[in-house]
Amino acid sequence: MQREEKQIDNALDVMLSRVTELKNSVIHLLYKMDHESETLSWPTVLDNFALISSQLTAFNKCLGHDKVPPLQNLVVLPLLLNPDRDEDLLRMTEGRIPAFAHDVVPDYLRTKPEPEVEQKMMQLEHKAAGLSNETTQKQIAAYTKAINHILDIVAKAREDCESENVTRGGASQTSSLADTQTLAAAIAIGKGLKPMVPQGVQSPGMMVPPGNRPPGQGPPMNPNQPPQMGMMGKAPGTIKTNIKSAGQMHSYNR
Amino acid sequence: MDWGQPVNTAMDSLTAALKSNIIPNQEYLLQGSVLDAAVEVLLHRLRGLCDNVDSGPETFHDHEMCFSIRGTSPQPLLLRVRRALDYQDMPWQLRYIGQSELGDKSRPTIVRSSIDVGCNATVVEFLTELGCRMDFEYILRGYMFRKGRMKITVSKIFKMGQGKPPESVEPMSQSYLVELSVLAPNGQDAIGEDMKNFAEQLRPLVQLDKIDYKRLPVTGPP
Amino acid sequence: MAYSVNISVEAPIESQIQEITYDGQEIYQAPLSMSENLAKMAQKIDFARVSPDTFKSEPMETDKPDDDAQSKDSAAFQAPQCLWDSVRSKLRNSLTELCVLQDVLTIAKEKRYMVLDPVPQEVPEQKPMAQIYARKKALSGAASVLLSAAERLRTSQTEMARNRTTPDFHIELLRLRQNWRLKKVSNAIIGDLSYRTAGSKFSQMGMFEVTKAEDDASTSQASSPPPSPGLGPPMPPKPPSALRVTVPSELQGVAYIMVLCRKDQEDLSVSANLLGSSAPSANPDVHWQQKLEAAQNVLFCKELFNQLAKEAVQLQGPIPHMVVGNQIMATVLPGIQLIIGLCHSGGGGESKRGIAPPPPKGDHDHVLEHSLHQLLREVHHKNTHHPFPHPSSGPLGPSKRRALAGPTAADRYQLLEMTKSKTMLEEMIEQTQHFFMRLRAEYVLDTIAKEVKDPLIVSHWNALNSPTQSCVKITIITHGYEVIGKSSLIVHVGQKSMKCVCRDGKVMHLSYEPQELRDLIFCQIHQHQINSVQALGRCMGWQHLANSPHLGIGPVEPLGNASSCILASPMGDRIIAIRCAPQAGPQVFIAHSPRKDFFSGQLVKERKWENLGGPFKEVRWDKMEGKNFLNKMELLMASLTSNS
Repeated sequence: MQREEKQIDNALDVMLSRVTELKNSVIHLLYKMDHESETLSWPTVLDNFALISSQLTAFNKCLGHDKVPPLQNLVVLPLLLNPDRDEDLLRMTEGRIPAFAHDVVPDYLRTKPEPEVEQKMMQLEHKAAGLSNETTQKQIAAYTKAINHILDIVAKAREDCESENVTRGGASQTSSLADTQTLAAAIAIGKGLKPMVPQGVQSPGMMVPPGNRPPGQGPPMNPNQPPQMGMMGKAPGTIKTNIKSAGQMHSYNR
Repeated sequence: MDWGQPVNTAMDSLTAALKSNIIPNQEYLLQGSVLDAAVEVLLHRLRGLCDNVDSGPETFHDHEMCFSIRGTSPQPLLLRVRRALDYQDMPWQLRYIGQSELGDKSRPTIVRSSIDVGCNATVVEFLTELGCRMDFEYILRGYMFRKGRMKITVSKIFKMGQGKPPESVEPMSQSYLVELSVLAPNGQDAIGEDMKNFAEQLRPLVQLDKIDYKRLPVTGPP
Repeated sequence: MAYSVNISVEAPIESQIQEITYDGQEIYQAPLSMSENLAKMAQKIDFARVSPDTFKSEPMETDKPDDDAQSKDSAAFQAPQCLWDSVRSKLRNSLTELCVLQDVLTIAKEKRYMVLDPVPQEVPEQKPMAQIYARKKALSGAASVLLSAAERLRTSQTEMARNRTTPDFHIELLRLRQNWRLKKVSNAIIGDLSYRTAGSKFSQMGMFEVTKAEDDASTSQASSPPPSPGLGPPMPPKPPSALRVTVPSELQGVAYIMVLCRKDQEDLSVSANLLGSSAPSANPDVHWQQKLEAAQNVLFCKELFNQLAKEAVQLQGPIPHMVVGNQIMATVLPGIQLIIGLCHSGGGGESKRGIAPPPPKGDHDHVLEHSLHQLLREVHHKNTHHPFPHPSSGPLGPSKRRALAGPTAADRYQLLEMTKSKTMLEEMIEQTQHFFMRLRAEYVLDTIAKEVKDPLIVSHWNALNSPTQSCVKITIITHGYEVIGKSSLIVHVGQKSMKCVCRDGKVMHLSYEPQELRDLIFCQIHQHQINSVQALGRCMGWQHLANSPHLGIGPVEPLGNASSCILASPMGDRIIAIRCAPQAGPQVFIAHSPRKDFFSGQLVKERKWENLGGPFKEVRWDKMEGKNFLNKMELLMASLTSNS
């Protein structure tokens, strides 16, 4: 029972905040209409209406939320009528109700719908009553079918539009952070470029005097010194494989 | 200028130039990479953004060797020698690059000191005689652009086959390295903002950023 | 009912009967406690009642308070916004409902006066058909909104398609955007027509604003100039464009750079006046493309002039350059001045500078004006096209020569040479100097060719030349004897000097004075005569005894030296001596040996001495027959030969 009450309280809080928001936007718009009518433009009004409409939707959603107890099962029960002025009440209602007396309560406890609304409802019901049960079923079926069909079309269009946006946005990857880091480290400290050799093992052949290297040849190698070349070719080769395995080990360790 | 005056020593003029802060010895740098598949798109965009690309992007083909020498400090000194393989008549370049300062979030780019000097092919022999030892080498091949003072390079890095013929080079990765850099005298930090703005225009194609390679797991000795 | 008149002291409306108790007591509503609705309405009225004329409407109050409030509202706002009226009243109603809902919720939350009380659930009655009707209605409402919007779009589109000929602002803007740089700054569209992106460093801005043209379209139908080449296919004549560009006043009008060359002080006042406004008054209705192009040209001319003026002030010349107003004067060669002027006639007819009539056409130098424009374009190009470094890690900026300077150990002199560059004005002066040198050389050659008919002077100018150097090949021939003798020389015309290369490889440097060239050509002519006579003699079988290009005897020539040659007939009995001096022309002498008739005298006793040669007698050359000198020589030789 207590849980239910708490639920009601929470729901009241939520509803109250939504209603306050809604009310504020309506006041805001009204104020604009009254005071800035010269500068008021259609787009601004439409924007405001859009805001109100979205707030209404939000309010509707919060009414249907599963945390909110079914409001249909609740009635507003007056507990106390007090003809005296109540400052607390006045403050709470922003100065609208000075006293919770019997002259205001009937207005507040009104359960009848608005006359206009009621009239419209009546009209519709009257119209509906004229139909036989069978026709009703048929019409409902036809209606549902048509609506579903349209819904499908709209959903498809929307999906197309969204997917197009996604592809146009270039969601495909064009760069890789890992590559950036690999390349940056390579040119900065030679990571992945140098044969990581213990100092002593380094072949002296590495230090080929490049002064007499013929121009146009890529790497610093001297074709005039083939024996050294061979040495060079061999030694780093074996070392290279060593590094590779070391690198693999490292990555597994991570 | 009065040429009648006795000529100052080179050291004097260099000191004076350093003091008046006109030597562009700071490099502002942003790095990123782009996958091979998307490099055409990037080049296209750069052609739209950069200065006078009416004749197409400038290509380059460089070879860099990195030498190290151990001095008194535990950190070896790194010196880079670079030459243009496609422009044999151009001088070689010897370059020192200092430690990258990443700075905090407010600093838009990496700042590092950079001193370069033109030289000829004997520089390698010279360095070797000095006791330097070649650490690693690689080939760069790609395109460069400029936008005002900014230089943008899009380059593919190739490993050099040890002892293999020079033609057999092997790409480091499936990406092009993209660098945005400016050489400026000390203290011209405003350029960093320009670079940041430019980098912003290449997003999301390329994420140009301050890359801290030291944070990466480094295998082997530095 | 008559007595009731007296007792009606309180207003019956004030206290309505709310309830009649069983004992018949009437419970009145308290006068102050109005209904909640009314209270709220009143509140709202206060809220909205701002203008005093709301009070005026009060007398019109009707019986019911609710209506009262509404009528007051409508009266207050009828004037400014009958448009929003229906919307507002509905909004107001909904606000009322919202307030009630809020109050109920608030009070219920307090749980003092009211609570929300759960009651047993009753199954709500399902009225599916009514629901469907309601939904159908709602959907049809939404659908009609959408349909009417679609319909409106469609009609507007067909309208547009039908009125394709009427200019559309956005289409025009698109065209503009294709040719010019535009950007949007808050609500305005700002364009930039400066050459800054092309490398210009001129400080003046080239901003222009794009606005939508007002609807004064009907006034002017004409004045749609042909679109510029950049615009693609020519459009049919059309009503004025829907787009208007506004360029700053200092860029309006027409401007051009005028280059004049004057000799000596030949009335400088004229030149000062030359720079008046010659431009047609700017038509306010010109197409934007033309307008922008004109403005861009104004900007360009201003930059050009600005740059030249700056250089003129900085440049140290032997005769200082003068910058006066919108004119730059520089001395090119002694007695010759170059005047560069900026002419700018402001838009709207009134000219900004100068009042004189337009300068005579053809007086100014189109070629030099063109090269001035070209020079500035080159500067622009250089500003943006820096060489890329190789290797790529090198710094941007230094040229290849600079990059090589270090490794090749360039010395101080070489480095200094690298920093030197010619300013535009210097370049211009050089071009003008060359222009004059060429003009002078042409003049000299033409006059000589006119004066001297024998031999013929043929000059051939190379078609390809640079703005500061050209080359002319001069050939001297005698009509009818082209094969026998032909002298040719080449003259390189530079900026302040000429270089002549003769056939024998001699190189002569001449100054800018035209007389020097003239003298040289005359010397060449007479040398040609001597040379060709010798060649002719060889053909005729005559013997060449002697020749001297610089004869030391005879009267002193004012110019150069006379040259001579002596030819002997095949038999050796006739000798012809020719003396050719630039000034005096050719003189021919003949001598016979031995003479046919011999009379021994006191001195010459024997005939054999006659073989030594006799005295020379001058031939009266003008009496000789023959078309030209060589022809005469040929006849002379022939006659002398046949006699023997």
